[in-house]
Amino acid sequence: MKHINKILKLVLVFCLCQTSFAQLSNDIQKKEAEYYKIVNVPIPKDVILEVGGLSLTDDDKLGVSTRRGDVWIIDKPYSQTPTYKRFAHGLHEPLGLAYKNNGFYLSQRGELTRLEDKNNDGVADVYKTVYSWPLSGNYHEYSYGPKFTKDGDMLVTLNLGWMDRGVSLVKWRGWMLKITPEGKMTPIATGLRSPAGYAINGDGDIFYTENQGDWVGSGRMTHLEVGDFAGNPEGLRWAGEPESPIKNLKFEDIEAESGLTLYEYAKKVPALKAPALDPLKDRYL
Amino acid sequence: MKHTTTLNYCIALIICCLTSCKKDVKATETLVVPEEEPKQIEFLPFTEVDLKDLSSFKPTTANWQITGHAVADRVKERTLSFSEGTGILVNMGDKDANGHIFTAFEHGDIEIEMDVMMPVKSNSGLYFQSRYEVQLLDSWGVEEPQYLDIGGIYQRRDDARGKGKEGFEGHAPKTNAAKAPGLWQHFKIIFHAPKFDDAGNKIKNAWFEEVWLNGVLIQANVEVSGPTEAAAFEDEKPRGSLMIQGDHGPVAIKNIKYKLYEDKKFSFSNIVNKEFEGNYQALINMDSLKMVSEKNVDNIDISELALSNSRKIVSYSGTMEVPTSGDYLIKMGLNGGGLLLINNDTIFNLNEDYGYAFQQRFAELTLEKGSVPFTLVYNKKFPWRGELELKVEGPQIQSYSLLEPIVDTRPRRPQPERILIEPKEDIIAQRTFIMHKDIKKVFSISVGSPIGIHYAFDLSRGSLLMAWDGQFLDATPMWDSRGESQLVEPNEFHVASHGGFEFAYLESDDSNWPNMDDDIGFKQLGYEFNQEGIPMFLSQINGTTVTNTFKPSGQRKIGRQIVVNADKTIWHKLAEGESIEALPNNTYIVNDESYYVEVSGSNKLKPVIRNVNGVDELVVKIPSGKQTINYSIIW
Repeated sequence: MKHINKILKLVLVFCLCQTSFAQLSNDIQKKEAEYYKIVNVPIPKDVILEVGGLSLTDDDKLGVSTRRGDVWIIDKPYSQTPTYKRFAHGLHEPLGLAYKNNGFYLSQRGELTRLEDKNNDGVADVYKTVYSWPLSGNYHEYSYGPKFTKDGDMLVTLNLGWMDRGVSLVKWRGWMLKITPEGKMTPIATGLRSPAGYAINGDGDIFYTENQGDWVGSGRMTHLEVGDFAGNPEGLRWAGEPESPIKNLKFEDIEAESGLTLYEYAKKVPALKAPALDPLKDRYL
Repeated sequence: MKHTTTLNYCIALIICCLTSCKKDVKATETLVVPEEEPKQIEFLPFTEVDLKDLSSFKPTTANWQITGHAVADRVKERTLSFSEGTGILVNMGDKDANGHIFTAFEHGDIEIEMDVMMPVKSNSGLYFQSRYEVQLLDSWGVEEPQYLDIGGIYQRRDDARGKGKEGFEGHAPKTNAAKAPGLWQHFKIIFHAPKFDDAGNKIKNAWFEEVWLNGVLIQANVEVSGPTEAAAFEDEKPRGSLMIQGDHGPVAIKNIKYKLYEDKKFSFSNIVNKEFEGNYQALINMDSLKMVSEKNVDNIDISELALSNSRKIVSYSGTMEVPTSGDYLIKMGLNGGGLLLINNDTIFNLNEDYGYAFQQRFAELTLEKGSVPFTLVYNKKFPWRGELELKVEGPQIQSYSLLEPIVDTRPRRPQPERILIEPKEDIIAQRTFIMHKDIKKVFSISVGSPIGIHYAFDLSRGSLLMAWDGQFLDATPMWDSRGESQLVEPNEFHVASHGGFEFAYLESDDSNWPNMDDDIGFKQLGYEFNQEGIPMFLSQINGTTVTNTFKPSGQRKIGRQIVVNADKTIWHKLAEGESIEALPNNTYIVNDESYYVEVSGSNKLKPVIRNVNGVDELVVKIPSGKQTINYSIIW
């Protein structure tokens, strides 16, 4: 399948970067250049980016959301003389950005927001709450996204909180949610811990990666479908909620220490979704 | 050996009590409601000054009276009106009679609290031992407070110093925490009298350890070398009455309460210090622990352990000498685990499997003067984190630490440079977490304006949280490193609103207002900046839409405009407090947060004060259709 090859290429570049950056940076740059053109975008001294999300607008300007809550619009981002204009400010740690229907969409800690420039002065005047989810106040409850699906809905992922381990203190931490532009929310899948990376391919398949951690380690990619459980049991605390697509699995069903590998355990608990790639056999499962 | 028996006894107790220790859950706005723990007292009771008549004071001139109510005119200077009753000490500011008033009690070291009301431009003073003055003045609106502003330690005066140099040693408050004239203002002051040797020579100056005004620490460790200007006496003594100045204008005072302190302390003897190998677990059986050392020590000093990267369990056993018979309050705070036994009674048993968070407990106990055995065990579970506090308060004993202070001289990560958010040209609307009355509000937005008046609004309840002036936000806790608290710090001096829902459909005029966590169909819709760059907050409660706009204006004043489009009769709560008082001209005082609500005269709808479940609420009934409500809060 075409998309498998794409993924394999991606992983290959990623691995090479990781292992040999220090010694072979020149070789790597050459190798990378075969796949990507890398352009350094100059950043003005008084702009603190700490980038959380990137998205191109319809007229090819680059939108950048930052950890400190700004959204910048960079005109001519590929040139060495880009111009920066602050489009929005004061958002709560947006980690993601998407552009659609003349507005930006982004996840703040506690909500999915649409930003709109109603009076066309280049600065957002509408900060519309599309959908708000609960927060416990734990610092580790990062929220990522959105990504648009083919039919115009949005996917967001919600990181677990942290109290000496990943914890789902409130609904829907550890989940992927689908939200319509009108604000209707449907939980899609759980078992996530720090689901910072996810994407939808041309066929509409959803893949996600983790950055590190308990139950769900880094370096794996999981194909997520409605009702999937990807391994970290914390999100299952909300599996009994009426909106939940996971009907036959509870938090208590997952053993703390089974002694089995994830693949073996998935045979025992079929609801458990194993990674999309089998690292031993190099194939798509 | 005696302490071995004690330890065995304590082990049994630990096993018995294991289940009684609950995790200290930090208050956050979660759907997981922590189990309520019985309220612990955190300090011993004060002595209250009886204000039913003037018998708590020495006889004085007729300007001093006990009244039941006091209202300061909001425009006319030095004008105070009052009604018959008890509970408030008033200086009427009479031109003919203008003596000071002196308490019947005399004090040396003292901790005192009281509420003070200053009429417009009025002036008075609290003279400790009748000699050392904390200034009282209507200092509302003063930008750079001086020693002669409210909360200042007044200057001393010596004409011999030469013309223009007579005044010296005045201490300005760190912040101007003055509320508007006519509002009750809360003082807490810890004062220490000068000390003398047996021959009567002064060996230590008087000093103000702390002065708090309206919840802000405005003076700390200020020494005064002698009586300040206009003191009742030139000399210095171990004791004296508290004097309140009567010749500079009217003032009202209530809720005076105090504790007198003497220089008494516990002493320890025969202290045996044992160290054991540690682990992550709760302490279950000390016999199974491997002792690594045992020695006699002179005091309880955990510095070395606290500052080392080691995991250990330590115990200190011995005898403590109780200085005086009476009621004591002991506080233990720690992370890891710990245990305290006095006289073979378990006072604290903080013992759980993890225990990473710092937790603290208070225990009341009665002790007789004399020697009692004690055992203190500290389980330092985390090599990189060891904190232990043990404090005692007692009869005439100010709370102090029983442990030697930990002086950390290790090189450490430099303090981060503060990250301040400052509105310079435009209004800034920054979403953050913010603390409001011990609750972490996680859907809060703070709005700062270049004119220096700021506020925080809870988007998830559609309600004003607090207002402040001066520095807008310190965002260091949110943006430095990981920002683990995700909190911002507004200027310390602020006024807080109730923080719950501001709109509700009520069945009847006396129906309960919904709680903060009730599902009332509230939906946040976000906000829009209008042409002036001011955010308008939009929300919906079932079929009703609400638009909130705030207009900071002038000194410590914020105007509100609320546009409601209601599908049926709905109520708005303007304010909530332990008491709300109606003044003329559509103005209300909200206590004990102490601020004015000034309702615009053009409003068609008139608010009413109602009392539900012991709380006063200022509410207005809004008929269906489009309505506009305008009012200001002033503090």
